[in-house]
Amino acid sequence: MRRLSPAERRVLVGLTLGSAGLTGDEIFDPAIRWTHLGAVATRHGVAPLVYRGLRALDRRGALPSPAVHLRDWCQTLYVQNVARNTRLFAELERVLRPLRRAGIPVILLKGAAIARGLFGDIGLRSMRDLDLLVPTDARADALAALRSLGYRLFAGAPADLRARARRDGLVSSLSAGLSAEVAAGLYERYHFHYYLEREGQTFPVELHWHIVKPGRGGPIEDFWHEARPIRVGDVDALCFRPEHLLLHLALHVTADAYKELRLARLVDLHVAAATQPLDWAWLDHMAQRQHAVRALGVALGLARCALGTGVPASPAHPLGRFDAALVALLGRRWFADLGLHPSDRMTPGQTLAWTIARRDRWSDVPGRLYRLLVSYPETNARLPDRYRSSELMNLLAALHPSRVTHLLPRARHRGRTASGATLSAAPKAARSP
Amino acid sequence: MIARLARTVRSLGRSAFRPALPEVAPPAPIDRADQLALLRLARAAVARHLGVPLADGMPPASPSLLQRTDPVFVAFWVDGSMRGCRSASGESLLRNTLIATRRTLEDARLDRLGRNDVGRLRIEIDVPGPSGRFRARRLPHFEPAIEPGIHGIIAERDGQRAFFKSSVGITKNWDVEQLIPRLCEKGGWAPEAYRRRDVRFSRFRSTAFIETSGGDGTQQLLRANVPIGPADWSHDRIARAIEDGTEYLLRSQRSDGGFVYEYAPATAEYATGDNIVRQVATAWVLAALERRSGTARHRAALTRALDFVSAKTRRAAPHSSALVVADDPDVAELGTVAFGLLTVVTAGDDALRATAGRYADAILSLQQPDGRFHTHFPPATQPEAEDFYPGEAMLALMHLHMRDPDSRYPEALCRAFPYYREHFRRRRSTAFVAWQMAAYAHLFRLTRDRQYADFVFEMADAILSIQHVGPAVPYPDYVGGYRSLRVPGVSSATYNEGVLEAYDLARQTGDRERAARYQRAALLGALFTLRLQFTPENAYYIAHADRVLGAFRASLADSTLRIDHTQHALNSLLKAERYFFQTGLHGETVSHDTPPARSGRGTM
Repeated sequence: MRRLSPAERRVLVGLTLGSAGLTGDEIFDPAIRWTHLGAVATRHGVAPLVYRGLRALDRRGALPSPAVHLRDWCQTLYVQNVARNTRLFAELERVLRPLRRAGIPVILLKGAAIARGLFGDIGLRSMRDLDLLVPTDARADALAALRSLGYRLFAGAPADLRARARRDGLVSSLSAGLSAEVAAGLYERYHFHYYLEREGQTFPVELHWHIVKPGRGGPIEDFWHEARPIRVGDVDALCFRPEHLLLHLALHVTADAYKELRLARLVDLHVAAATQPLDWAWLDHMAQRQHAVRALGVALGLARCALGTGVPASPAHPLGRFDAALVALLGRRWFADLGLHPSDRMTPGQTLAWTIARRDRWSDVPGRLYRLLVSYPETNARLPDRYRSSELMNLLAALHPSRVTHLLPRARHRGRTASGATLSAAPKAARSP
Repeated sequence: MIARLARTVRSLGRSAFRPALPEVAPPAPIDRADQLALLRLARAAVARHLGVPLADGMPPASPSLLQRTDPVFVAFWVDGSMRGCRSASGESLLRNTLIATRRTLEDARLDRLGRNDVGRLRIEIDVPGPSGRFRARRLPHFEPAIEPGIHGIIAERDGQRAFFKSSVGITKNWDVEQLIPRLCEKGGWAPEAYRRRDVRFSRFRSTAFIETSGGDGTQQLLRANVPIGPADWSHDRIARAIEDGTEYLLRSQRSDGGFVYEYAPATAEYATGDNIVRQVATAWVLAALERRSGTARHRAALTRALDFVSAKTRRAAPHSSALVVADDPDVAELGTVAFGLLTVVTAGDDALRATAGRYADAILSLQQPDGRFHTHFPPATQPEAEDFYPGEAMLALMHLHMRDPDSRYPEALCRAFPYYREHFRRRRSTAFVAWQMAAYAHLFRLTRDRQYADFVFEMADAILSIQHVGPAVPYPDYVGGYRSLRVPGVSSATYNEGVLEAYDLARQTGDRERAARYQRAALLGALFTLRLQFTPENAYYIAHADRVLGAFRASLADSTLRIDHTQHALNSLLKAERYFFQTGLHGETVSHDTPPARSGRGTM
């Protein structure tokens, strides 16, 4: 069975949140598949947190012997995370210095802001990049400052940006590669950050000027007005006010596709909501001002289902009855499905529910669903080149019988058990029926 | 300002009026067969004189030996005591050897050799070369002229002469300031007679050799020591040195788990002083040796050492959970806590894991906002030992991170990095490098952030600039050592620890040029370290050899044994063994990005 059992889910969440809430019976339950649980923790980006929980159990002398291997596994991931994040923070200091010298204020986003401040341990929060927010009118100067450090714009753009650029006549051909400058132009027009890389560096820097795509959200100035000082090494920077941070994390969670939803993102929300004092009324007001009421409600609803995140009564239900019920259903289902699933297969019902729940407008839903189903013809690798501008051919390709059956895997899998999965072989085991 | 100017003028005067002395040439070399012939000749003379049968025959002497007319000193050593030493000159070298042997047998100044001593006798022959006169009236003027253990000295006054052969300074452990007054006394003059104009001094170099401890061969001597060179480089040789050093530590462990702090072999006297930092540092190296060997004896010794550390452990403050190691109720040194942490981490006892964490908490509590560490508990305003303790503390944190990962530990090093890099660039101290190199090498292995490796390389390049290498090295036993105020000593082993770390990093970063350079330097440094160890071959002049065998001396010219000398030397050789031979004897891999998997004992 690829999914975690209810007991395993309780243990996973308990360990993720520090192990204090776990009882002896839960920990020493012989039915717990520790190896499987470790594989799920790894997949969901919470292995370092699980290590912390297991270490605490070990120190209390309450670590079951079958969990020792998992502790060692998670310890290795934790150390790797410490190593990576140590390097990221060292680079963050290096990046912040010229920006500060140039007089450009910088707000740290996501991991850079919360790994130390909220988690209290940079090894507990996985980070893949550095996210910095600069004022829109300073982005060119910030870009120049980063270029002086050896950064360059990434040449290329995601499929949706390229497709939109093609339709808007900004690029003539999709087969030709995008230069860094053209890509930067696309990011400025359709997106909210640059994507920068540096030779020999294994992680990128995302230079944001907003936190949502153009035409969405509210004024970014609100975030700047309420920003708080933060210190990185010997360099001063800024971070969001706690309520803004929670809002941003909620927007981040709901921006992901359903299949990309990970427990680690919900832990971010949980920690942001649980470890710092929040003015919920102000948050409610700000969520409305930023058109993020739905995102906040959906994200907190999921966090509550998965992690038991406590939210005061009134802001906990910013959604209507229908949406609240939908989110609760979706959250329970997502949590119940926690396990090793093939990442390339979507469950149509939940995908539909997710698309509806996080909609900005009802009119968004069909478009999003359509794109989820058929992608863009310009970037659809299954389409022959001559049909790359044909939406009809793109749709027909998506509705091809072989593809439709591919979308319905769950019925076939239901009722079967995957046994003998190991940590190292987990993805392979997950793919086998 | 004025004092500085005066010093400069004085030094100018010295250099202007005292030109560099021309080096005196050593005598023509004597090959091993001829050395053996001379030693057998002397032994035959001894056997004949005492009426004991001669075990070995006389090997043939080469024609060149027969033609030589060098003067010669013959000395008898039995169980580390000199039992006679006389010279002869004016005849052929062979005949001089025979005459000197007979005179030595009749040397009335010492206990004469008896028949029962012959089995334990080691005959030393010293063939002096031509002497060269030099001027000196004050003790500091003798220092540049006399290299301890290399130069013999002759004092002359009114046709009367007094000699000290080159090895006297070593066997008696006298420095030049002690040697000259004693020479004057030997001449029958007042100890201060060297100040008189009518006392003239000459110096000479020698070729010396001694019977091997088995009595069946000859052993060349340089500075009363066995020459060690690249031909001696092997894993077996390094391993033997480590094992001999370990045996010394086990023998010198006190009942309280600490170690004999200081011993002067030449006078057979123990010092009364002690130093808690060095004691705990030695407990750490014992833990590393226990991991390497793992015998019941080693474990028992480590248990005693851990008891010692435990007995010195107390709370950092009355209401603090952090722990420090100290023998002072009011003050604790950061270095002691660092070594306490290193000891418990290396010991790998799961029961001590919480203790380790509390030591680490104490260390972290001393970090200041700018990254530097206070060096004492409670924090002092004036940093002391800033070149040592913070590096030791950071190394300890990284060791703990390897065993019990916690991001606070590498983060502490990251935070300290700008400060200590600037500190090093502002004031390049040799004392600073070894610990800092080890600490930041660990941080690089963890993070792969090039700036840490670059800092290690920067320190390595700085320290290598004072290593004795190349044709300008004045004496062959200096090679691989590092320049110091006088004769190179055990601090070279300390520097070599850092260079070995740099070598490992250069390999990991694919920097072949550096790796080759550091490898050569580290290899020569390890060979130099071996020259400091007392072995049966070079302890022939030590009265209680059992108290010194395996230990490492302060320098090539100072036989004083202090516990940290052996600790540093062993640590350096352990690293050399790990990085050059990758034996897996140390319970950890050479380069570790991730911690070793934990299983049972040996981890925490």
